[in-house]
Amino acid sequence: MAKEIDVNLSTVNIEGLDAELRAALGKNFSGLRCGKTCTLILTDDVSAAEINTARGIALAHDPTKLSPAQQAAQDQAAKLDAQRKAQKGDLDTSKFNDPLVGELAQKIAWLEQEMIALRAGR
Amino acid sequence: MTAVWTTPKTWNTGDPLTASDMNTHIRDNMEFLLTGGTSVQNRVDASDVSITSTSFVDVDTTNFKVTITPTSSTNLVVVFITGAVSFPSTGYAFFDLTDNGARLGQDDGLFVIGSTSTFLANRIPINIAIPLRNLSVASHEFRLQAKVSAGTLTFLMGAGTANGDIHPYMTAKEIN
Repeated sequence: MAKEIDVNLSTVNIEGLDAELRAALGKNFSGLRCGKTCTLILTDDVSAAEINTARGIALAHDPTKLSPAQQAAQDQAAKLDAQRKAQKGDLDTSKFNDPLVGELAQKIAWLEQEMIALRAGR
Repeated sequence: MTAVWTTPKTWNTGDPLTASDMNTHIRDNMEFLLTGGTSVQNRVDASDVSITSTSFVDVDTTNFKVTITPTSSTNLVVVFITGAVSFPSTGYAFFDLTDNGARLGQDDGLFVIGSTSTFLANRIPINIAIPLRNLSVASHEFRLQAKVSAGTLTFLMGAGTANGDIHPYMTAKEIN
């Protein structure tokens, strides 16, 4: 059995709140169930002080605050987007005079086109 | 009116044939058999439910449950669940059923879905039938439970979600 604590939150970043509560309560926090209201799922071993801590964290929850995993994913996406924008135009294979490097450039140009097609769902 | 099963009367020589007995033991029992036993169905129109719990919890404590009272412990009761979930995480989502609060499955439950990609797991249909025998002749409330190994599982509940306005059903049916 688990202890379930209901909290009323108008909006919730479920991954963000989950990460905050896991960091604070460790193994005594099993997770969240959020529908019309949010329920904190705690183990039977949780103390009254930990319940208060959990409730306090939930009520102070800022849905705009990202979890470490969400922040890492957002940073990675931004980095990829910046690198994508830095690549202007297709690879010009005619610039490579060495036959072996030219062959490699042809392969890279082909892979670039394949990736563009894959991202476009073609 | 929902037909109710009554254990048929044993008729003895000389017993009067009354309208009440005929209605109870013949008409009502025939109607009960025609409709195939007790069937309860709950269509949910509520908020989608997201779960990050790594221990089993009810998917929904108020909207997604069915209650049935079998007429005989030798009959089969089948619980049907249909709906869809979103699980864009790398991990596993486990499901179980409770009968009056007691989990029917052990360990990781009755069924599982696994995902290694956000692209593969955004809409997953759930269509299962769980047959149960030897239930006591008493009220049984069934609820769906779920847990995850990691990530967030969302059970779609007809909440108007874009491309996910899916209305799940949960049905319990007794088969004579």
